[in-house]
Amino acid sequence: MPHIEAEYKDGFVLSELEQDDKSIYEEGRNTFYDILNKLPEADHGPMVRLSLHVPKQKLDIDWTSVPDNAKPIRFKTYAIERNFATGETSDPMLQKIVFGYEYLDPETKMNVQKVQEIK
Amino acid sequence: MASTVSWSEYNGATPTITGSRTEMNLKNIDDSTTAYSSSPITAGNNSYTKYQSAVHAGTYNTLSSASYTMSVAGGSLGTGLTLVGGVKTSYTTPATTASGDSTVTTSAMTANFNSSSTGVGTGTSTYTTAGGVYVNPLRLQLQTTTSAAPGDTTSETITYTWTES
Repeated sequence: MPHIEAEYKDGFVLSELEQDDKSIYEEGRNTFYDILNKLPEADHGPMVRLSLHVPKQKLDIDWTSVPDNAKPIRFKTYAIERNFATGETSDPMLQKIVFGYEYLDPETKMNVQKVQEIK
Repeated sequence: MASTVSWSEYNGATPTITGSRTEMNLKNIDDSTTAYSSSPITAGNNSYTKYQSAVHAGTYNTLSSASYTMSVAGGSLGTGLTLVGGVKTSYTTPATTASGDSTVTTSAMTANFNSSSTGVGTGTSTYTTAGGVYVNPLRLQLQTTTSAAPGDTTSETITYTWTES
């Protein structure tokens, strides 16, 4: 199952899979919310790695080498199919993941995205 | 895991919203309980308009890019049958009068995320508040002519697509 994990300076790893995609800080939110809002950093130091696990592949971003103002990007697009008459509904089908980061270029003042799309 | 999705139906003038709907058959009555076989649409008449929303729950950071897409087995409902509809931000009591909506095609119909209590409203294309949220409803109506054949129509499938972070 595709999932992300973030590693912090003290070695703590926050895994979307292990947390069942639930925030450990805020009700109703998911693991990515924690990562995006830097919630683990108060206890574990700055993020040093952000990874996406997909079947037979792991994409790593060395977070120590990205610009200081970088923010993680992870979008998942899903579809469900539903038969009108029977109501038979599929499980959510993952169609694509967009993964990477974005930052504001201090010189151009433009938002720069470095992302990969995985289908 | 993804956020969870269920379906809710709107009936009556207020409207009353019924959650966890398991079918969306078009029929000759405005309710979410009567079997379609007990209130069939007779040839030459229209079904009651039907409003149903996708409803998200579970955990997420943001929700965006919601859309509904219809597909019909074989590409056509058959002679004398036309499915019309569209995404709605306002609500009128379901009726059999022609809704005025366009014929539904296989093109995606984009929708917004509205609120935790109803999909009726303008809403927003990207939803950032935690908790359950209704998507704008899809309103559908089956319009028939006297040349429509009796019996069930061909199978129809609705695909609901969204992006979450």
